[in-house]
Amino acid sequence: MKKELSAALLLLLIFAGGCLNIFVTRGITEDICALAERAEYGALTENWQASENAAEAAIALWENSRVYTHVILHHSEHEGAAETLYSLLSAIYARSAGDTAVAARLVRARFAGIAEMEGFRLESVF
Amino acid sequence: MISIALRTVIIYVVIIAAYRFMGKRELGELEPSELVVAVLISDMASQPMQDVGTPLLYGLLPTVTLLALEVLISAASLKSPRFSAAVFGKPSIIIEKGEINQTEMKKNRLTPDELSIVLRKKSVTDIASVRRAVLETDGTMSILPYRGDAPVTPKDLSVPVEEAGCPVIVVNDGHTMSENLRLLGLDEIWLKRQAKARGVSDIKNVYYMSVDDAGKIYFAPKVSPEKAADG
Repeated sequence: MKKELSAALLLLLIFAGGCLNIFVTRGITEDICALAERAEYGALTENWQASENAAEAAIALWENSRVYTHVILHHSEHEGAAETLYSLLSAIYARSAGDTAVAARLVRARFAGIAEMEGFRLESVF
Repeated sequence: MISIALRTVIIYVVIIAAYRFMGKRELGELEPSELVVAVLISDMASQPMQDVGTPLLYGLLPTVTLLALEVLISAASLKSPRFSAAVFGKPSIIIEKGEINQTEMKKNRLTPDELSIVLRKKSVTDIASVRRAVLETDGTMSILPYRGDAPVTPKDLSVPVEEAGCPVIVVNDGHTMSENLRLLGLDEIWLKRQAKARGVSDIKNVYYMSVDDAGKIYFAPKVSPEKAADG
C-alpha cells in the first residue's frame, strides 16, 4: 500500500509541477511579450531610449531564467528565442521603426509559442 | 562529453530505481503492460542521454510517470480481477482433454505450427496425452499431462526419499554472509573452525561455502590462478 501511495503521490507531484511550470513559463513569456510591445511602441514614437531599455530588459529577463528554461525547454528553443530578442535590439540600434516592429512581432509570436507549448491545451497534447 | 557521461549515470540510476520500485514480479515475467513500460522507458531514456540539447527532464519525467502508472495498475489489478483481465488478459485453454481448441487458437493468433513448437519444447510428442494446455497471460504455455502420462515420481513408486536440505550460502568469494549465518543459528567462530578443519585458515581464501538445514556443508576453497590455469 505504501508503494501505491508513493506512486499516486509521485503522479500528483508531476501534475502539480506541470501546473507550476505553466504558471512560471507564462509569467516569463508574458513579461517578455509586454517588453517587446513596449520596445515596438518606443520605436513607433521614436523614443529609441525607451525602446532600447525595454529590449535590454527582455534580454536580461530571458538570460536570467536560463537555468530554469534549460531544464524545461530544448536548449535550441532557448537559443532561438534569445536570437529573436537580439534581432529586436539590433533593429532598435539601427533606428529602423519598421524592422523593430517586425522584430517585436516575431518576439511576441516566438514567446507566445513557448507559453502555448508548455501550457495545457488539447492541441498541445495531440 | 562529461555531460553525456553524467546524464547516462543519472538515467541509469533512475531506471534501476524505477525497476526496483516496480518490484521483482515485473522483472521476471513481462505482462503486456510491463512490456510496454520496458520498451517505452528504453526508448525515452536514450534520447536525452545522447543529445545534450534535450533536457534530462524529457527522459526522466515520462519514465517516472510510467513507473507510477505501472505500480498503480498493478495494484488495481490485484484488487480487481475484472480490471486485471482487461489489462493483462485472461489465460486461454488451448488444449482440453487432448483436443485443440481452434477458437482459442484463432483468438490468440496461434498457428498449429507454433503450437507444435511449444509442445516439442515441453517434450510433448502426443497431443492426446495433454489433459490441458493453457496459454498464460505472459505468453508462456503451461502443459498439464494426464496423470498416466506424467513423469513418475518416487511417491508414485512408494520409494522412501530423504528430504534434501535447502542450502544457504555462508561464504561468497571470501566474504562472510553474516546474515545467512545468523539465520542458520551459526556464528563466525563456527565458520572459522569449519574452514580450519578443511585446511583453510583464512575465510578470505574460501571461494564458496554453503550449509543446508540438515547441516550438510559444501566447501570450495579458492584456487590460485596458476592452479586454475593448469586445471
